[in-house]
Amino acid sequence: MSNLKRFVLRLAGFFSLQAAVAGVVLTPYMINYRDVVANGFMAASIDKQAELKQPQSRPRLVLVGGSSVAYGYSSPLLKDHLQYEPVNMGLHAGLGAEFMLREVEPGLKSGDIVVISLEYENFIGFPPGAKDVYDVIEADWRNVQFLPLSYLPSLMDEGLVFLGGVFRRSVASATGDLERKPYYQRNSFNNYGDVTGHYGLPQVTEKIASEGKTFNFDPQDVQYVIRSLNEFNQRAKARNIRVFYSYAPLMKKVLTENQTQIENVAQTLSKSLEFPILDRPEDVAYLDSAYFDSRYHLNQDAARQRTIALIDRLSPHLPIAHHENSPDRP
Amino acid sequence: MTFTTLTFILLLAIAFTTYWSIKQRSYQNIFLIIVSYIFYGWWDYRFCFLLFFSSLVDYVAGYYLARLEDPKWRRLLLGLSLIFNLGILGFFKYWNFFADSLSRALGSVGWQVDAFSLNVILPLGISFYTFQTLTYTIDIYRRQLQPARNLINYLCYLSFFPQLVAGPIERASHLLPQVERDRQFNYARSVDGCQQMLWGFFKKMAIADNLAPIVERAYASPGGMSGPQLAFATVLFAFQIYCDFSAYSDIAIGTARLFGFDLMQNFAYPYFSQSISEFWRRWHISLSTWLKDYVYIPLGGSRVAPIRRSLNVMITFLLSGLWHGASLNFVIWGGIHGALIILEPLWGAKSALKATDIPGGERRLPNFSTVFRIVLTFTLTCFAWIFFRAQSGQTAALIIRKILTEPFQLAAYQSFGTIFSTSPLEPQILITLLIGFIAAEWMQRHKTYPLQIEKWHAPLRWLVYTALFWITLFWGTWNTGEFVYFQF
Repeated sequence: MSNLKRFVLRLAGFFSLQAAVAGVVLTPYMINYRDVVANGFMAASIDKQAELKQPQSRPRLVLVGGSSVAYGYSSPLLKDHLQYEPVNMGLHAGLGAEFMLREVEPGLKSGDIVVISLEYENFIGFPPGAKDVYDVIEADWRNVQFLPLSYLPSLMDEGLVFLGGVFRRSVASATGDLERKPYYQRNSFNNYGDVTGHYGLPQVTEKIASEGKTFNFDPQDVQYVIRSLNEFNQRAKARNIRVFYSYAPLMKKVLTENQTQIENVAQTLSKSLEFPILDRPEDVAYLDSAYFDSRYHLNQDAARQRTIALIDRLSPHLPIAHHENSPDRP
Repeated sequence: MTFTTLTFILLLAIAFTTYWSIKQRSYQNIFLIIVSYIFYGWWDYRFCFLLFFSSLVDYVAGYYLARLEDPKWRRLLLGLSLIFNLGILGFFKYWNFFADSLSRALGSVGWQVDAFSLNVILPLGISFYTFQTLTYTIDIYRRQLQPARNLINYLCYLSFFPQLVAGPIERASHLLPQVERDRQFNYARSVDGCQQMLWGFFKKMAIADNLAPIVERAYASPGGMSGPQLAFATVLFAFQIYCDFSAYSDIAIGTARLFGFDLMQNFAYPYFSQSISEFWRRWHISLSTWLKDYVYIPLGGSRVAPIRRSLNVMITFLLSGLWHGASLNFVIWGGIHGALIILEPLWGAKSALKATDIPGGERRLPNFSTVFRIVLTFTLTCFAWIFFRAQSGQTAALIIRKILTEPFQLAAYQSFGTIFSTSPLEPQILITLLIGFIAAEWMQRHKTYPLQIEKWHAPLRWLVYTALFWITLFWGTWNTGEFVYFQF
């Protein structure tokens, strides 16, 4: 046997031993962990995609974005006041704009309306970090189909981070050390895809306080995302699907602190987006008390307020909206 | 591309299998160049152009330096090569430092000028490969080295990916001959390489990256920390930077071995040194020997009057500080080390030990005087690390003041445990890992690296490898975080 072959065999032996150790030691943990993942926040993507595939008697209003969308709308209210079936596809900003658009595109049908709201982080640093992308793949491996090629380098770079995390979380889930917030679970979403698990819970101020405060946009990243949005719009238009943009509901205080930066992005968007923008950043910025546990996550009342604002701004664009059936103003 | 990523492991697996399936050395070298440029370009493809251009200039310079006979022309050519290399290094690394310093200096005498600062991106590893390429032209000028037989060999030498970004800084006289001769796969050396890589991964992920957030928090807001906390954070930083940087060298050396190359040892248990001069024989050996051979000795070395010798030492260490970064703090750090080495004879510190001697002596349990000297040297090293790690001179001064004044206040210890608030691991696990690491280094300090346990029984060896593998995977901070020395 050649030395090289002997070496490769020995290396394979070492990794087989580690696989065996993993199998023996971690399997009991993994069984429990599988359950945790299947009921976790990211697993809601399975339900959302299923909802999007459901045949509907009327066209849909598909809401696209990160968690600000998941937390930011009251779909029952939308359903009551617009002649569209709402599907809230919002899940996590960390998935990046390209993933979000790819995820919804196959399920769209002629006549649907799409409202996109991207968190401002989606215009900073491209491609996004791989952690959240791995989490959504872990929840359902079929999500791989929505990955753009541009994510590949960061996914490869962070592959070991993910693997180590799986082992750590597996053990932690069995020992009870894995923190599982009840409002970050698959069952925190209603049938339309809105997060409702936090309704009635008190505000979590520590998490809001720990979030970064400043945005540093890279013009190249902004242009990249705009290009993706416009290309999506082109394809949607060809299928008789109308696309709109609505700003993410950023906390007023944070918006004020980043006024110039956000205004620059807003100006670029108004200049370059090839589909209508329904509002301005300040139209959907609320006071601190309107947020649950993040500068983007609205509480129940604020989500309702934002939904009403969307109904008002979207209605004039919709041929089949019920204008006379105006929602109650808060 | 960072060593601690899946991308690197995939690249390594593909490169290793392809490399050894190529029979001809010249094609192996071409393949290594391709792999090296992919590795380097993964950060920013534009860096590759600079690396290639720099290589080309020095290859041409080396070619003519070997052929020219007229000393005047040779001096001129060497001068041009030095100006080019140091000019590139100066532009990318030091432009803003000097421009800001000049603006401030002129401003202080009432002459307001706009800052000359430019938005220059520092190409990774530029300090490392510039020093490497300098050895090539200088050694050819000194007639100590034959130029590379062809451009491929030279490109392969300079861009060799394991050590391209953070060393060891390989001399052309050591690495180039290896590039130019046939390489055979060697089983024992490859196994040894894998073991050294495993040790490197453990040091980086399980120790350095777990210490980093604690140190970061303490040094980011020293005002909110007590003196004992800052002293502890400084000790942790000493281990963080050691484990981080020496881990890079271990992985680089191990990787190179898989391709049939030997890189020089870069660390030899520096924290067991009994004097600062011994520390510098054990710490970043490739840089300290480079500075000795290409700066200190040409300045006259120690064969001059004592005052001149002291000046030579100081110049060398100030340059060492400046090499690390364009900041006054690094210069002060170098200056402290230089001053300590100059003053060492005054207190009769041991300076005769070489990197190849067993650090701390041969006894398993050292005697009191050895322990005292080791602790004293470590303390002095930690003092200098404060300047290395602090954001500014004022911050360093604040940290030193707190460390010196607050240990005697009981209140300073009351919230000591809060220093671990940013620790990714439970404090007891982290401290156990650190103590285990120091113990392993002490017990195995007669080896090149602690995981050289080939004489142990096979089951015990495999148990150790398996334990290290799982500690690294389970407790390691796999954050694709770059190595500290990338910034230099």
